[in-house]
Amino acid sequence: MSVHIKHQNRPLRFGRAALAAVVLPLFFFASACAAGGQSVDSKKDDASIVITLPADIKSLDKGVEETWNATNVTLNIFDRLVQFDSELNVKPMLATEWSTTDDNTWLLKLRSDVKFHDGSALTASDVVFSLQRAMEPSSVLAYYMSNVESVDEVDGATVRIRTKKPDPILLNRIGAWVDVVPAKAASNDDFGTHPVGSGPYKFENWIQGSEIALSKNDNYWGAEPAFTDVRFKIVPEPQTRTAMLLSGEADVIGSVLPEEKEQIRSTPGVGVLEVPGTRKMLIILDPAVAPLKNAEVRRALNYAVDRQAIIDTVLGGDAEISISLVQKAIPGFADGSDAYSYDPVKAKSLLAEAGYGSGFSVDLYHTNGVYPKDAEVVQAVAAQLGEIGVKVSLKTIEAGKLSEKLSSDEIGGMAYTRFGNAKADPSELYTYAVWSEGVSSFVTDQRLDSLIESSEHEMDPAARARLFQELEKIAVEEVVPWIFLFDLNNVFGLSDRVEWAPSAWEPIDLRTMSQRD
Amino acid sequence: MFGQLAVRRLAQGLLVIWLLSVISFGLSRLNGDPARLLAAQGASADQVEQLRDTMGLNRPLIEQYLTFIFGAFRGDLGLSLSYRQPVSTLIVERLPATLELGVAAVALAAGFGVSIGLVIATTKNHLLRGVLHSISLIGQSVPVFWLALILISFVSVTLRLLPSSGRHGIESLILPAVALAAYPTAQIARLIAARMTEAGRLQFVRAARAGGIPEGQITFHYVLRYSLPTVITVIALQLGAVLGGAIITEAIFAWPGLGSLSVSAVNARDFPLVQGIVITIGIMIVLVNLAADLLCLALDPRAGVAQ
Repeated sequence: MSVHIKHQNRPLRFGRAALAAVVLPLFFFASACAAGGQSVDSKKDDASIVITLPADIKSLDKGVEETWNATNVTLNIFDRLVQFDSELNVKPMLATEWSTTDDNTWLLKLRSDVKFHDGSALTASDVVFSLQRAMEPSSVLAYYMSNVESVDEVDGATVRIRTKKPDPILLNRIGAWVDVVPAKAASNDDFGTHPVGSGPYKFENWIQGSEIALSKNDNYWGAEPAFTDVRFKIVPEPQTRTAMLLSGEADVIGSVLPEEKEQIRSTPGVGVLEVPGTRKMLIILDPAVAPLKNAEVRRALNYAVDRQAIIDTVLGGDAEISISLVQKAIPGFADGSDAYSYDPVKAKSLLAEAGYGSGFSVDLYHTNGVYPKDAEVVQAVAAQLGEIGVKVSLKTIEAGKLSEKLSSDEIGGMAYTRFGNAKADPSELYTYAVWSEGVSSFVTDQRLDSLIESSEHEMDPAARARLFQELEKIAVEEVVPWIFLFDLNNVFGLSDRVEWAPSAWEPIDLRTMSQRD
Repeated sequence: MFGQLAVRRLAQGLLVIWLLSVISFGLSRLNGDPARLLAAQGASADQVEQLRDTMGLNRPLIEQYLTFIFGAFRGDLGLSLSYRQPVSTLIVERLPATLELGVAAVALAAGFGVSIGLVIATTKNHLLRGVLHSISLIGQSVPVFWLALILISFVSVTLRLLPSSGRHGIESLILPAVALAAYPTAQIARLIAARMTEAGRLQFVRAARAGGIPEGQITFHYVLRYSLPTVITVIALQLGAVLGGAIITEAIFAWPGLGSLSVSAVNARDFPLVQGIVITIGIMIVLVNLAADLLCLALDPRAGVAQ
């Protein structure tokens, strides 16, 4: 096939070329724009609110995605049997009261005035369905239900839960994470993208990867929801979130970086809100690595770190020293800051006593850009440990690799990581990182194991608190395969039209948010 | 000749896509365990193992690969592990956003790039040429994330002219498209300027000039035409690059395209989704290059002879 080149004899001068230079791009751009996609009404009326989320949401079904990020949305669509109050104590929600007939049997009475968004009334069978659904092996919630033997319906308004072993924090597990769903709607395959709950806001619309819209549930059984429309926008870049707050495109933004705070504070109409959080940052030490085997060395490392200096200079003040395996905001926190104040002289002498007077070298594995200022924090720690002769080589690894290392048997050095506390209970970190069978535990200590195992099944709160005190003392002062650091604050940027007193439990609960007049 | 080339290129494209499938399958599996990441912080090894089982990750690798590749031929890319939705559904939902941004950016780049290059090559004004040269040099050297953040803070925050992020029609397309277009605009401008300057010295152009053909006609019919195949090749490469790699731009402008989907897929070790995205982008790049090759052949039949 041949191609003919047509010759046109229309003379063109440079004037035309210049004109073309201007018109062509405009034409291209106009046509590109015309190809543009769907449009969403971005006008805001007075009772609407826009909230940013830092990462994409994969599913609004907790059994598929149980991250904090997704919970910001699901918390407002669904109710749970119980909830945490501002001090993180368990309080009634869909269950109005509960009792135990024996240590393994719980009876929960349900509210009678609850309707799901599809109009159906909440019954005991919906609750049974919701809990049984979370027990399926394919559910990522199975972990929270692992001590549950069975769930059944006593009558239309009462549910019975039988546990395998006595479980003092059964309600913390369920209260934290298991959403109550309507049995009928939740049996649909698309429930994760079209959720139906009984919460203060109804699911409206989801533009994948971009935004989720909720609207007010006029029939909510609790306090009247403050907003008619709620939009959650997925905005991964922190500086873009700040820009959205400053330009009025967003009312609430989370995960504000220290360097963004000043700009927000100095802009009229918006402000910064800092509250204690439940994200504990610490450095895990692998006791299989030679110098770290020695308890005196581990103690020395804890004396060598100037935590307040790191908080002030690197984190912009957005954290609080917390020398404990429990987060400061959790009921039952025992402050161990007397145990390890910043004392490099003592650190040096401890090292010398342990036979490492001339120091040693060790690897510190860390992520970059996963936790706030992670790379900067470990640099500061490395410099401070360098002061006492410990040469730290920083090894940046990817978050997934780090979590794999932490759930394996060896780190091969130290690792900077975060522990959350979904159950708002001291046991979270003990069972996870101290108990010899814990997923991320590098400790084998029989005293600790037996204390942890008793605390898991101790139904008397006072006795349980004593067990934790003892646990804490042994773990922090004697065992210490961690460098204790701090709990990160939750830092939000907030429009002045929003009034909010968030709890330390991280997800955004719109029940606690209202409009300023 | 046209048909031959198309068939040969398609065969090469299929080979490329098959290789991609092997590489993306292998590489994504080298990199950790999705079940551990999906499960709750404290989930036991047993629970994680059960989750892995329900996701089919305990089957032999070769079986997993064959399932994947035969499914892919039928258009079934499997089920995403983290979204628990069909991979093809997720990709189809995000593809329009990526295409929209990619096409807008490359159209901008082609329009402005060709125009600027044209002016650089033809103007007698040294100052104008110098300024345009500098602009294109800057466009090529400015990192996209910096330009993107500057655009947001100036246009969205200070002037409040355009939305900073999201995808809500044309106004929200402008900033990301401009940010993404900067580099290819500059590249196209510099390339076309160089190519046209070079063409101006060639014999057929000198002959045309000697024959008294007006300068404007020489510019458009001889010089520009001579330069076009190179430009088309570059535009095709750029289109491929922005379709597959607008990850940073998409993240900064919260643009819900394939780039942001691939970031969450990789973070979640969502093998089927990663594979699906890589294959989709691979197919698009092969098709764009095929179209460019055929277009070049149409403009310059010598391209086919040279093969």
